Amino acid sequence: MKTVWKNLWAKLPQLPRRWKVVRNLAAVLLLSALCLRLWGWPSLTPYGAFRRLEGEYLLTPSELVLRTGSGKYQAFLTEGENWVSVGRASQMSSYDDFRYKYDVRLHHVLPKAGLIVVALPVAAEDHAMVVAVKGVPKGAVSGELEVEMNKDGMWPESHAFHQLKSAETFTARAEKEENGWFFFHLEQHPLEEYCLLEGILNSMSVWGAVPEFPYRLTLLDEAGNEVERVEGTLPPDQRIQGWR
Amino acid sequence: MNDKKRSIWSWLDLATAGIRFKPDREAVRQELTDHLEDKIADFQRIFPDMTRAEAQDRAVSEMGDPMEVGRELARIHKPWLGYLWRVSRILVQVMVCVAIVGVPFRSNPVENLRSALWTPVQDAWERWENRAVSDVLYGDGQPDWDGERIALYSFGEKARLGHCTISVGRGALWQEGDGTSLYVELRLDYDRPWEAGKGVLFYFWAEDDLGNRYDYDRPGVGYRGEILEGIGWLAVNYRVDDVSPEAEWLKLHYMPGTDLDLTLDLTEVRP
Repeated sequence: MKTVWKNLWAKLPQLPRRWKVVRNLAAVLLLSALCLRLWGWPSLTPYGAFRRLEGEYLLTPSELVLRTGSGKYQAFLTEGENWVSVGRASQMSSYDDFRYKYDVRLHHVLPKAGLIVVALPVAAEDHAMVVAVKGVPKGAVSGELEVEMNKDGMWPESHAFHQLKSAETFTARAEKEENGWFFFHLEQHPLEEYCLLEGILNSMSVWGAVPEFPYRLTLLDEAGNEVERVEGTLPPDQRIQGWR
Repeated sequence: MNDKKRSIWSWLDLATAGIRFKPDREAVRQELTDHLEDKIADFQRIFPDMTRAEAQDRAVSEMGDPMEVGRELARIHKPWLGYLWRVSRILVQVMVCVAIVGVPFRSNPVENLRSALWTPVQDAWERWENRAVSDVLYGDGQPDWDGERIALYSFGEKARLGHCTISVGRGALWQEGDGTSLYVELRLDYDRPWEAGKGVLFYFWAEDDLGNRYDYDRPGVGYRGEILEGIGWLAVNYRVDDVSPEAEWLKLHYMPGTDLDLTLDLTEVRP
């Protein structure tokens, strides 16, 4: 059989080496395109996957303001001309075709008008939950944020559910950044064995947005005087999902 | 005898030493060996008294200075093309393996084959069905639902949002049951074809001059027929239920924060 193939191959017109290289490279390009097409043009990076979802939902052009998490799970805060969006990309294995893809979600798309208070659903490097704030009154240069968290948004099966406190308030202070944003890092309790914040971040780690927890924001001017005190709830999850 | 043979080998070694790409070196060496053998045979045929050793000596001496021949051969046979060819062969082999192992045919071959064959048929059917729906909505077709067209529009409006052009072509106002529904041909053309996706169609909403809002999460705001899609575009018969017949215009918007503002004039009815 091998000889038959060899004979057949020998009968074909032989190309010069230069053209063989061209033919082979063309075949590689064609096969790569075929594979990528069959894999649905997978994204190479979490942020690339997130940008593609933003593009699909016409939220372009936008600029990355903050990224939390690393590796498989990352959350992004981006800013467009008139909107702010928060979402995530989680690398998942696809059982259909033995490859990894990104489960990408847009949790919040908020108009850039008035005060924006939004939490990123993946912990920062210091294991804290980051709440981003923008649109504060003029003169406010620092602030204190209190977020009342509870177990309502958690899965009962999640991390040490029954050992966690049912509700707890987390507080953080932040200064205004050059780009006008405040990033409040709500830190986990290092001395507690079971911290509610850790449980919430764990249960949000793959799918969910931070639940609609109530917050209280106190804004201060340079002299430390109170500029404004605002109460509200974190925005609802818009649950826009893609698979990239 | 052995010394003579060694002299041929050393001539061949010297002549081919400058060719750095091994397959080329071996091929050239084989070619030169064949040439030498031919020469030896020729000498022995022309001079029957000549011994093989003498014929070999003469053949080698006629081949010239091995160093000079080697320099010329090295100049002709550039190694980079050989290495590039070898790399390209390996790449083809790797890609063939990836295509065989990696493509979705491995997990469920029957389903994937069925899908590959069936999807184009299904697409063609949806296009035909959608054309039929469009014919009814804006043309002469007969509806198979309880409804009557009361106005026809030709909007021809376009707007840009993100990296996409949103256009609205024809439109029609229908009396369906107790309410009126507005249908418009909505089309999205993406500058970046890879960004096109159907999900976007669920986030359009509208408002009219009478102060009514038709939010995207409200029942009756959506589309009729199928979503048509091609490379970098989507098209749909976008539908808004319970539009007031007194409304003079309807503005099409997208998610809050985005600045799509497509105004559809409902006073200019097409005859």
